[in-house]
Amino acid sequence: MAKSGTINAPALQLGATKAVRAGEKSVPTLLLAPTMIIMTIVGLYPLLHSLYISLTNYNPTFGTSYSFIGFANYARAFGDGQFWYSVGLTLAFTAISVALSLTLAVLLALLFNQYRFGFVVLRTFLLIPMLITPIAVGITWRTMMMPDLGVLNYLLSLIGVSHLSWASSPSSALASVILVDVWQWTPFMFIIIFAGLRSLPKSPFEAAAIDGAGHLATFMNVTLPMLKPVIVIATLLRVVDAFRTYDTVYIITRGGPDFATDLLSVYLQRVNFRIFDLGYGSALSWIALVIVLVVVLVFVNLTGFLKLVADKENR
Amino acid sequence: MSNSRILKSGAGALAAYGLAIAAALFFAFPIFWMVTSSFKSEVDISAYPPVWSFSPTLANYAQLFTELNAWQALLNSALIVGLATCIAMAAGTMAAYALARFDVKGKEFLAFEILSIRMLPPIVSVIPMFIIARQLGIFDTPWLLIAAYALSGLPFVVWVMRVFIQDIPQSIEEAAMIDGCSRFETFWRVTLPLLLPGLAATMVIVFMFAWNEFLLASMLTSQEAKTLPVIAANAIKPKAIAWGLASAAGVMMSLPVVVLVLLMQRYLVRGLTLGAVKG
Amino acid sequence: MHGHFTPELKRRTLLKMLAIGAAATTLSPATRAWAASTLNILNSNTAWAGALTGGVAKAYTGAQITGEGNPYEAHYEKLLIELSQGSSTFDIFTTDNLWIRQPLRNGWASAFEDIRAEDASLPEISVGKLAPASTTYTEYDGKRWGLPLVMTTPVFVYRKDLFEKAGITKVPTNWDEYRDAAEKLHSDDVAGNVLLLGGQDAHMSGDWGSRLMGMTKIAPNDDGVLDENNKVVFNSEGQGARAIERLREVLPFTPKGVEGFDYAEGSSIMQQGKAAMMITWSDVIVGIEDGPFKGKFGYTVSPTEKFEQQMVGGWSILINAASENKAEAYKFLKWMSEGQAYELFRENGESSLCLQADIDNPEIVAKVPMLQAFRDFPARGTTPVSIPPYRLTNAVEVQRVLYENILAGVNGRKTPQQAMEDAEAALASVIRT
Repeated sequence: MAKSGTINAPALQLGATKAVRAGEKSVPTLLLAPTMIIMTIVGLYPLLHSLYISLTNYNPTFGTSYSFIGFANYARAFGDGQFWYSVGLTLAFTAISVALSLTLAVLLALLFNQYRFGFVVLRTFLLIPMLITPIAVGITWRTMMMPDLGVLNYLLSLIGVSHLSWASSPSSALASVILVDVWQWTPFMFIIIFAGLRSLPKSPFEAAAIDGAGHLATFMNVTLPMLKPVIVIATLLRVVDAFRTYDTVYIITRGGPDFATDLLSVYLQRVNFRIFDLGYGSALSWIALVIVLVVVLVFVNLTGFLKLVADKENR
Repeated sequence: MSNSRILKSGAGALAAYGLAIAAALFFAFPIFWMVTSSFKSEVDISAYPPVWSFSPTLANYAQLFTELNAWQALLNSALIVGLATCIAMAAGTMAAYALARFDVKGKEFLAFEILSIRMLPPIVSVIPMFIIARQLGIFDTPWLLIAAYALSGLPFVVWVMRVFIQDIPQSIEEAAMIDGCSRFETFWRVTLPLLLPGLAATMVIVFMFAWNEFLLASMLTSQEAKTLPVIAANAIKPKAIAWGLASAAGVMMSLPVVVLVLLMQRYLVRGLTLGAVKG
Repeated sequence: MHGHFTPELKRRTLLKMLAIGAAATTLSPATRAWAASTLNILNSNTAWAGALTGGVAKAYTGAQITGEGNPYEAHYEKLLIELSQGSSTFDIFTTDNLWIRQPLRNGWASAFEDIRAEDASLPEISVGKLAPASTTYTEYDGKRWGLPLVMTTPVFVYRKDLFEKAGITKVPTNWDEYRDAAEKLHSDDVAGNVLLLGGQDAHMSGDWGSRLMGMTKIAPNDDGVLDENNKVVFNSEGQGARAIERLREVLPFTPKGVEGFDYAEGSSIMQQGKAAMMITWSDVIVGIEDGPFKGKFGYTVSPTEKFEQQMVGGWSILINAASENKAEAYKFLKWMSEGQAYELFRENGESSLCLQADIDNPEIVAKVPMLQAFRDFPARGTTPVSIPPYRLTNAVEVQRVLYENILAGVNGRKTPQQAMEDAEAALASVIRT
């Protein structure tokens, strides 16, 4: 039995996950402990509380007494057309916005991976939008997009494009809000993918260059496969967040005009914090959670992410 | 170099710069608009056609710092978000390392459990947190917010760092450990430097999300622990919007984070030079 | 082995630091809870709110006044969460009159009479100096529960110069004249009038409510949407549908993008001269004189149809039943009722004044044109009506249901009559008496 502190050389060749050195048995638990502690202490109570509330008809508008109503809220949710409309709208919003952001982020990461004078400065501008507080983003874009008084329509009028409605018309509001979302969050995907790109080893690229591979071929066969985990992560995180988009959209449109941008989070906020129907609102929140979970699981399976991860970790 | 190659590289450079500048413009214009608006008087801000040259005024910023007590909010935000980010980074990276390098039972289930923190709409946490805050007597103190922000940063850190750690071949760590390093020394001296781009990116993002969080901050603080987003939101009046104040608040709130990003940019680059270590 | 302890050590040091930090905070004498005579106000972020923690706090010597501003929706949320949990963070709270029944019916506020009953040394509070229409909101169950802060009413603001140019000599006093004026004034550059379809409060009460007011006779304890027994009456004679039709008939004369407009867009549009007329709450149009058309605006009461009735809204200030400083809060409100606080509001830029002396003072009306609407009340014989549907605890929810249906009617997704019937049906389950 190897003593702790000495290395059992043959065991190491099996791959690190198997090669837990003697005495390292407790290490993973120790490493995971802080996270689990934080999750349990801070995360568990709100979770249980909201689960409990979802089984009642608690509404503080009417005072603090409430009664237990079982699954009535969930049953009500299934017949709530407005809720399912919001879910559908949010799925569409998420899909389009993340797809656009991803494409833009990958292209920009490739572009800025080159060493050119001034690129570092230009790259900095790319990172800033996601750092601005959503309230300011919402207000700035709301002003810029005003049909009669906004600077965007003014600039467009200079080049002869007539009066766009941006976020003030039901037909263009969703597109406008997606534009703002892409503007705001492409930097997020960019920074992760860019960091991933920068971390890639040089040798495969050198080998490809020696083989005479062109840009596109190198990208498709060398870059993309190596970048896949990072891309999937960035997309996954972005999808989970896009589903919860609230501040920016609310400030620009308040869910309108005429429900064109009544995203899930806007609807939930209305039920929970305007109408204060907390019982129902909690039930809706839980259903929303399940929906996101399903979306994430489908996505993760489609991209073969789990298999990828398992392969890497068992190497 | 042949003429066609010079031309190609020249055209390539032109295209590259053209695209880069276009991208920078797209992302920078609204920022520019916000910054200039913050120095405009109320009259200039709402003017149409928009005014491009105007006499700047510091009135909006003055209002932020005198009426709205932005300085204290800035300190509060810095303390709360700074601490929360450190906690999330430390705990999350450790967890990510455990998941990436060790055979943990129920690994994927655990990972998804951590991710699901991010999926629950934040609304459901507000009232329970409020109840906890009052019962423990920590309402309007930084502690609950720090804990809440650390919690919401964990999913990012764990998932992103896990991927970045996986990218570093285990053979390197094995080599170091064969040479006599302990697991911790290996991590500190070999893995960590290679992780810097990922760490930098993650830290910026975790910091940024907590910095801009409004809902919990507004409900769980009053006078003492109020953070910047709560101040910024005061630009939205019941029946009007104080455009200038909002822009000034946006600028002021963004400056620390922008500075942070500029500092982190160095680490994003560093990874490349050390990448040569990897085979 | 040495490596294995280090993560443990790091955590322990962190925990130690946290513990020291926690101890330090509890030991520091910081918070206001220590000062026996500090009054904390759950405040808004308007002009009067700024005055409360500014000029008024300085002028009042009986206690230290503190409070932080909150944006509208966060204010409502905080109000509900703090009060429903019986929190004593705030001694005094301010509320939009639309929400006022919630604290009143749930027992979250304390009546003046009750506070005096516990402490006979407290003087009586009289609201004689304040406009009568503003004080109805704080009367409930035969007692007085607070004071008004500001009083608002829908104001009809129009461009005097554009009226002249179009040859309109009589300012519209009914909806037919208004519609004709809108058509005459409408052009590609300047819209005839502005509607605010994109805001729940703006559209339901500002647009639709102001039209509803003049159509039927509203009894003293009704508000046009509900009668005193909280039964829906807003379409009893088809007036709800008629109000929607009135909106539809001027919809063609609105600026592009009107579907998304809320208060902020409306006042910007008027200020920049992109529209000729607008009817909205008086506290919305505060800044329009600060633009290129200063001095060119006229202000008057909103047009009506058959009856001279107008909504009167505003904000009120009440004492938290869970407060530990109720006597001090009472004394502060007593001081306020004597008038100086209202003057300080005015000096801080507030224009929705409720001090009767201000409304009667021609000099002040000249400086604060919005008050002209209140001055016109006696001239037109207008009866003030409290904002519908404030008498319900879940007024916001009812307003939302109404808004969604009114919008459907105005946008043509439903016929006006159908919209009103759907609203009535939806409200049947929402309204609790």
